[in-house]
Amino acid sequence: MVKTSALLMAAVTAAGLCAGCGSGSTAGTTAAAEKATTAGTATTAGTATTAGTATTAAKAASDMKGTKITVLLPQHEMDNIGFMKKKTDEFSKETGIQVELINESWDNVADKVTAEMTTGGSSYDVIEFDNSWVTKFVKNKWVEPLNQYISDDEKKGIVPGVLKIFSSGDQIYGIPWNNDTRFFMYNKKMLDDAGISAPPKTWDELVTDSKTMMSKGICKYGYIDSLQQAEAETNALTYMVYSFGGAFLDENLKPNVTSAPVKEAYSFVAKAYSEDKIIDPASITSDQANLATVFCNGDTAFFLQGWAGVYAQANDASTSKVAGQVEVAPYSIGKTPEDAAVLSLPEAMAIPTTSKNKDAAWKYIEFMSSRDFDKEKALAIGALPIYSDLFEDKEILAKYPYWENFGKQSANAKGHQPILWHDQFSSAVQTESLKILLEQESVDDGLANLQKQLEAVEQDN
Amino acid sequence: MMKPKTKKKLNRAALYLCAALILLFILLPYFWMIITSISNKGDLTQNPMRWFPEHPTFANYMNIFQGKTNMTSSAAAEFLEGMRNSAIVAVSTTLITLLIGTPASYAFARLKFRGRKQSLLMILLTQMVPTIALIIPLYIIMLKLNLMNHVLSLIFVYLSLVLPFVIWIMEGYFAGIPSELEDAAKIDGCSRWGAFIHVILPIASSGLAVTIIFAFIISWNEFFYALNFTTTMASKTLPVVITEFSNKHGQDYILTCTGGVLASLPPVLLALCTQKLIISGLTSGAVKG
Amino acid sequence: MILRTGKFLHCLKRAGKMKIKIYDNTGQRKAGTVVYKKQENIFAYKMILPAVIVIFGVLLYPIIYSLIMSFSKLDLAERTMNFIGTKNYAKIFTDSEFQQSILQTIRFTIITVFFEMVLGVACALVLNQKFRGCGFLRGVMILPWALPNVVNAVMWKWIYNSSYGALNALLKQLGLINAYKVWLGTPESAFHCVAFCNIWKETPYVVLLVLAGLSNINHDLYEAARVDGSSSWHSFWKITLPLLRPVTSVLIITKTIWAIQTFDLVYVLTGGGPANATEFISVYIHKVAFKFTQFGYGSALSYVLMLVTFFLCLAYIRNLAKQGELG
Repeated sequence: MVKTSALLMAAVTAAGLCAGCGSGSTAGTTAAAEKATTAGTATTAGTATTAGTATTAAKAASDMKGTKITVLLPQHEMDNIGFMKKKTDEFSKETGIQVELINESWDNVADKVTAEMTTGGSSYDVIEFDNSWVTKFVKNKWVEPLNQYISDDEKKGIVPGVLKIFSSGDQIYGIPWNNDTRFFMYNKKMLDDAGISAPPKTWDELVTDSKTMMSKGICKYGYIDSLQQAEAETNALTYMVYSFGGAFLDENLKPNVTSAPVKEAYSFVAKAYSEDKIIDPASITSDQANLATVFCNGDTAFFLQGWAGVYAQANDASTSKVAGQVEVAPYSIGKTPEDAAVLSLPEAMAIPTTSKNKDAAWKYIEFMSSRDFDKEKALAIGALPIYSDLFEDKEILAKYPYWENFGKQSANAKGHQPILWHDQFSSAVQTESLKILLEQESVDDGLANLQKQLEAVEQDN
Repeated sequence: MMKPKTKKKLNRAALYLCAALILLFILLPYFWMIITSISNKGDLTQNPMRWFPEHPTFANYMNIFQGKTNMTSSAAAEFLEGMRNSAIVAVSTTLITLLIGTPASYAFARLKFRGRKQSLLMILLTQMVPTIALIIPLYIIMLKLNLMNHVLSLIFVYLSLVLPFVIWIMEGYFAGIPSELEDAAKIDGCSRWGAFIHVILPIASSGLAVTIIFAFIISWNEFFYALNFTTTMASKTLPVVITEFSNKHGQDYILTCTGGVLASLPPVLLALCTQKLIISGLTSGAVKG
Repeated sequence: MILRTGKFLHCLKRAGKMKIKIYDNTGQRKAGTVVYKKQENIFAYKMILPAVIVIFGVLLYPIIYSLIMSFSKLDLAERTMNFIGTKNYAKIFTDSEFQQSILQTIRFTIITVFFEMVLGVACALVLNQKFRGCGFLRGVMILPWALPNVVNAVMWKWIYNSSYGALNALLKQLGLINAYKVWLGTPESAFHCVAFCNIWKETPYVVLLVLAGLSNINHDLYEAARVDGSSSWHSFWKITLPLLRPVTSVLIITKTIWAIQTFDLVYVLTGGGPANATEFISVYIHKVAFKFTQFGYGSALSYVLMLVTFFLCLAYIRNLAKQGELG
């Protein structure tokens, strides 16, 4: 337990890059104290900053009664019980700040945020802030720096690596609300039936195991991946490249796709797809929801990067045919155990610089990211916490014993490399990778093309 | 006289065959959509496929009307509110289009006036500009006019979408009506406007019916502008509400199909009601010889 | 129609000086022509004014704004436009993704418009006959078009699903294929599937408009032709089609414009893939504008697209002009 939690903390710390927590906590304290006193609720000045729980946040906010804020977020994919809406209503009741919570599909939210930020509207006070938007939004001065608001408690308590993803330099710009890290899961029953004692540790083992099970008719395919032309494809290939010990960009964030690890990764995927045929050909047209459907239907044995909700979905006997058969592996696959990586794609809440109710917006964010709230959320909908110590919380681990393995896998959690031109990067990767998979180009040619395209984009930016 | 009779029978049979093929072509995918809406995921992912689900259920429909959460009352009516907004926008757009589009297209068809050719062409050209180019400036306009998240914003924008096409289409229909009818009417009863209202419009009812259906459906189904100009249930239309059935990881095709079945009912009802008008036209006996 | 001399003279008075078309009771025309001059112009302007005001009121500013944007680069931080001349347009010439996209789009447009027109006219001819259930069929015909675009796309994506889709299941059960195909998984196959979807969706629109057009054709013409001994096919070519020309010309122009701007369907079905095989121009422009936030370049692309649309429709616009539709 102790080892796990230590691993986890160290691990998700590495999730963005390095741990550096900035200074400035005292500034935060005085600012909050000043706000509280001028508002007239003097006594809570001290408690407002040290505790950071919901009730004191509410007390300090009572001066903002009657303010109306608009929040635009995608729905948490694991929130099937209206948890976020319920808590938002609670917040409104406690503080008197009216919240218009708008949930839309992820793509719609992305488009609306872009349109709003480009035109400089102030329709929203809290917006979705995806990990791949950070550099762009900060450069365009679209989001408010949050160091002035965030309490010491939160800063130290939230997993540093995740917080770092949403920071630029020392300044924090977003508070995570969805710690979307992906994990390696597999169908234990299928492995048992085939006489395989443990899930594969290396990529070669994956191929062998898959072939064994497929030849015995235990599963249709080894695994299915989301390779349709969308952002999810970039995620899938980024994961592959990381787990071969490489990266698309080098330490200076310059394109490096002709490097050996990337070539190996692509060669592996191309071979697994066309020759070994252990990858479901439907991958080319699948979104991630389809991956879960196929896995829960018992057609595939492995789920390379499943989000936390996949485990719950797989064990839901009412819709899944593999209930009770799925396990989370204690490690993820890598070329070597050191290379094994998992992808972390968190989302955060940010305040647009054009918002007219920044203080009220912060109150909302603070409420929805307090430790108590986080624990409640973890217990209610199974969402991964954003506070480090909650990963070893007894109550939580009692409800989700398999989170122990989540922790072990997180030892090497990585996010996307932060660049201003992430969208162009993603678009080029999607297209060229598909050309390679569809055998329109060889791996070497395709990667050479990709390198040229990425270099052109990188220079333009 | 057997030959003409058998020929007639064959023709009749061929006609019914064609009609059946058309029916299949139209309905098969829609039929599958209905099946999907009454199935659960387990039934749909069976291999080999069963065409009728083992456990048909209306749970998906209940899900939509009660809201995904089944808890908060605000989510419960979201679909119905989306329908209401869509109805307001669609009906308003259709009515206004009829009111101001029909006279305009009549003028373009019948009257010779200065700038006729040029204005017709200009109107057509505005439609060739892709909406994606106009979204940012329109967004700015809506922000400045404070029309964001208001059905009026959608009505205005849809009018700019629908009117040009309606003018062009109705212009063709009006042009196809023999001018003798009008001349006779003018001599008979006078004013241009009177002739227009009392003689031309009834004859052009087929074109008008098609225009009504067209204007209504375009407004009912439009997505991109609706997505950008609406935020809350105050103005969100049905297509936007239906896209919320997907999450970060992909589409929920079962709920989307369910929503689709419900969303397609009003336009189909409208079409069924107006289909008689569509074939009325001149053949209803207004003109002889 | 009865000539009433009283009203006739009244009209004369109101309209001022003019020449008159006079009919006698047998419908035969006598001398003269009715010609309104001044009032016609004013009357016409009154008729078109509301519509013109609405259309240009909504669209004029955005079009000018986006035109200016196409010659600029947006500074997203300061929210200003920096004039850069024709750099955006020059970039288009070296943009291979755009070039591939425009070719695919034109190919898509020509194929779908062709099939929609042919199938549409054929269906309209069938639906124009009287048979049991014809009214119902006419009403139900609108179904594909009545579905919201996004629903249509999701439904077809589900039908094309390579693991559990209805198309695969149907073909396999009918014995037409041996194994499930990945319909949207190869460039050519995806293109054809998307084209088919669009044809399925858009044909009803053609059917309805042609039906309305057919209803304006005088049946006596067909009677006369039959008496003269021409076959129904001959009647179709010589009577129906020419009389439908105004409707079909406008339809072709309309459908071309819409086909070129197809977005929702493709975006949901394939996202532009696989490997940009179905990345039609509107999908590409959306990517450039909303994902890459290059709104200036996106506007330039849009105006090039508009030119392409115009040239594709030119023949039909000229046709309408010749026929006197455009004066």
